[in-house]
Amino acid sequence: MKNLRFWQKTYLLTLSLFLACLCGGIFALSVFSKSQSLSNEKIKDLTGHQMISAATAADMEAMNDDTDKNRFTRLFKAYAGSYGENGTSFEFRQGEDVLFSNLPKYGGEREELSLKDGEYNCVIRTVSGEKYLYIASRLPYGDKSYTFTSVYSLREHAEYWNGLVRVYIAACAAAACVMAVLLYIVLRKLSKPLEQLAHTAELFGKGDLSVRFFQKGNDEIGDLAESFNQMAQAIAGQMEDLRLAAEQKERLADNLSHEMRTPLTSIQGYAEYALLSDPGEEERAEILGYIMEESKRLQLISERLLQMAVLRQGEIDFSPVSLQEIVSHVFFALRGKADEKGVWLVSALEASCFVPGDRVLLEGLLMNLVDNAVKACKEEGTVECTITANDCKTVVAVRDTGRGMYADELQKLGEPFYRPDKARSRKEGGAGLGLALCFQIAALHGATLTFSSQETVGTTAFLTFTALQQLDKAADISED
Amino acid sequence: MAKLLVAEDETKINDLICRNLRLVGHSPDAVFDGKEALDALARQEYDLLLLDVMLPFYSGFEVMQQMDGDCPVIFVTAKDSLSSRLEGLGLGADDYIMKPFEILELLARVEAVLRRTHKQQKAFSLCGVCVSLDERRVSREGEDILLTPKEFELLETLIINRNLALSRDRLLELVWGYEFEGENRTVDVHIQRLRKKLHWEEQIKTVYKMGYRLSTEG
Repeated sequence: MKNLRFWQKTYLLTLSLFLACLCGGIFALSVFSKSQSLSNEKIKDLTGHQMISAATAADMEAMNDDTDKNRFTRLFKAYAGSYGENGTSFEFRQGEDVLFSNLPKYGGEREELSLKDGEYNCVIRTVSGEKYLYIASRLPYGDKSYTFTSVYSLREHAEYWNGLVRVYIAACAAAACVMAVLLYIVLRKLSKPLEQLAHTAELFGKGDLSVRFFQKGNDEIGDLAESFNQMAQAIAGQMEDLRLAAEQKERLADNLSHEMRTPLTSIQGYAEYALLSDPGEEERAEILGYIMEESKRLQLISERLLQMAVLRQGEIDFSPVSLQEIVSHVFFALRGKADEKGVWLVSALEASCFVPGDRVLLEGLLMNLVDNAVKACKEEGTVECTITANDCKTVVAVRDTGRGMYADELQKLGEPFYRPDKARSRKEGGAGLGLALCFQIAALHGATLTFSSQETVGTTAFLTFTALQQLDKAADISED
Repeated sequence: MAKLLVAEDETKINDLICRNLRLVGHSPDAVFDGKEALDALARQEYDLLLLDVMLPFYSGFEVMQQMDGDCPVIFVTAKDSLSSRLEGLGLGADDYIMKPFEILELLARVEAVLRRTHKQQKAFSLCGVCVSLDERRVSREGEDILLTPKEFELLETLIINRNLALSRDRLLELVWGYEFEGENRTVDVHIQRLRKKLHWEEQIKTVYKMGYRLSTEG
């Protein structure tokens, strides 16, 4: 049984159960109908017996002479002659004397002969291989000393019965065959989708994540197919996520290597140049300046990476922080730079707006955003910072009138070392990690950082604190 | 005097490469993105293009695909994955050099490509000494100076890397080859002979703790 398929097991079990029921039913039926037909036969023969018995007694009465036994014997013989066809035979006795008998030879006990008045005995007996029905009764004549026994052959009945059994067996066999074939077809049809599902799962397992199983219907297999498809969908989705994450990691590694190598190349190259060539005083100073500058850039990169690593596992102390205060601090710090570039700094702040957070980190975040905005602007550009708050959220928006970004650039924003405008950002000495850091700080505060941009019109950064998050944090604070 | 175009978006690295190329007698032009590179290539013919792979607007690979003519190309890049290297060479780049690179290595590769395309410097003269690099002849005021083959190769190496100090080990490697198990004394002896034969006592300078430099200035 162990090596059989499910449908084969079902097939065998169902078929054997069916056959057992069928055979058992037919057997019970035949046993019942056999006894029924035998009792019918008995009634028929008994009727015949009573009729002959009555007729004989009537004739004997008519003769009204019991002296001449021979006359009775002749009468009996005549009856035996006229009714004795079809293997029926009779015996007439007076007491123990047999007056007439043409019974088949039988040497055994004749228990039917022990009679009481008014009753009759029926015995079925096998004599020399054939079954006979023995019926004995007293003749209703005189002192009832005459016993009448009639014997009916049951051969016909047996033959009929045997034929019937053969028909039953044939019908049984036919039904079994039909059942076997039908059951096979039905089970194959039922188990086919399961096999297909197994095949699909196998394909999926081998790496073809696009395969799906199509099975209509509300039965278990339909449910299974749906569950399988949902699982496949989820796995494919996760695989895709993993692939994207891996891609991003690869890009990070690529970028990191590029970012480290660029200053390293400069440092090494200029040092080598200073060593091998014979630079004049002025050139030497210039070269050493370059080397210092590039070393600082390396330092900045390593600092930022460290910061990010710390933030990644960092816990921060939440305390209510005034956003207005932060914005004015940031504006104060960047005023000089903006003036130098000819960029206007504008702010529209609501009266008081507190969010739970780390003051230093949030200031760093906004510093980065405003700094980026200033860098993006040309002369006479404007950087505007607005804070809007309602019951469900607080939004800090930093809008610039810079060059704007393409959609695909927006998407990569915040990836470490991604620069929408490489040339500009390097000239300004960025490490390419600022926004990545911003995203991390925002995430730590449970806030979201999003960007919207239109080319040549400008970019707006939105830092959104949701009220729910604020409540949570407020609760944390009050608990502390 | 080969005409080179240096396409590199990092101004400092671009400047570094140009400085070195100028030092050994080439005349480089600097461009800072893919667009400028294509414009410059359309405007003028160059003997060699030094191309960064990660350029703004058009990547180095795209520049190479879009440019007309068959200017030799050496890729200079921080990308060192095998696939990008193969992509560069598959596009028909002549060589590939990775950041950070050594100046001398970069110059050697530039020289090798120029030699292959027969754009290398053919003659050099300094203080009355004319060196014909392709004929392997050296003359002073019309008079031939006889040099042994090793002396000539040493002179050639000094000329190619002029204004740059070359260590004795480097000279041994470049002139005598990696296998040569000579001593640094061999270099000193040959340098002495060159100085004497060419009257270049001032021009071939001894650099303290480094080696020798052929100086073309003053």
